[in-house]
Amino acid sequence: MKATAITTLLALFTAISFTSCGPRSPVGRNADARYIDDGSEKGLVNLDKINAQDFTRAGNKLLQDLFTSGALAKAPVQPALLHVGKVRNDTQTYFDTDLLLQGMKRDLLASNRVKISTTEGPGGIGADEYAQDVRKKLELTGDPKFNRPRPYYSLSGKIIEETSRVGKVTQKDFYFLLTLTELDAGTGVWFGRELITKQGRRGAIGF
Amino acid sequence: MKKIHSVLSLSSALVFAVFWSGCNNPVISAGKSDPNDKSNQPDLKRVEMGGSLARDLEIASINQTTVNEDLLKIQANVRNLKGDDCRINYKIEWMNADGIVINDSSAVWLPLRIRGGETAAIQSVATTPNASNFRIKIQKAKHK
Repeated sequence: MKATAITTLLALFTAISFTSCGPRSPVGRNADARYIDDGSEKGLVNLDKINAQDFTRAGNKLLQDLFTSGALAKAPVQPALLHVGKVRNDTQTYFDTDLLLQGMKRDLLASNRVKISTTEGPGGIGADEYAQDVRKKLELTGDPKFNRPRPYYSLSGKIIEETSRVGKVTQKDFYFLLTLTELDAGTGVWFGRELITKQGRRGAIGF
Repeated sequence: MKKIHSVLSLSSALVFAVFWSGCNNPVISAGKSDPNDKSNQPDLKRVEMGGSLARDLEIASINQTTVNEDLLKIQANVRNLKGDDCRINYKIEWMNADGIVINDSSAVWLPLRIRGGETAAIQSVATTPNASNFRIKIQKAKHK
């Protein structure tokens, strides 16, 4: 009687353990898709590409370095106008560099140190073409509200990939290099470098 | 009959133990006890949730300063109390004066290796002047 009670109790605990956490038994062998949080430690880690958490990490570390340098606080007019230029992708895989830049732009704006131009760009092409068209018309009609402030800073850079191998172990180094230029003087006022290194034999789920 | 019961009990206990240990990766966290404390070494409020990590690591102290004139920068000094290397993931969440978490790029889990007996510095800069408090979360990394 006592043994039956213990067995039942343990079976109950086992059932709870099965259902409370850990991977659930899916319906169908491969049905295990699930959502993971932005920046989660459960994300995939690939050796041959930059993963979502790598972009967030690189962007955050570069911004922290930029803020710590105090370069943005030196502009005579605050918030200063910033032009976010090209970040060249020199890696072996294609990706849109806005994956790095959009989060950085959001955080730069939140710092209240800069405003970001979306209607100025190289060759007269801005990020927002519609806004640019509207502004062109305003300029032509001589609208008194129209103004065209010149950016005080420009941000540009590149992402470089380096591969090294020893036996079956591969190491990938992804360098995120950004430069902040003060346009009046034409000199760089901040040079940011963030390195993300991955080493292993094959990709992994989570880190 | 007795034998069957014993085997069943033993196997159930084994499965229970395996599953219990498999999902237990607790997070330890710490923040300022007073959000308005602007001193260089503010008092800490630790929230520790059991597990071996709380025995292996210690958030020894926190330093804070201001950069870019109005952005809070913190440094958490994390000490590995054991002799072996420890791989952790950490995340820093910034909060405004009302305790609302600020949605910025700091909220990403970052890996860190701390050698045995070493004290490592975890740094973060708030991205907005509205940030007045923070929460550091630490958990064991998946791979040793």
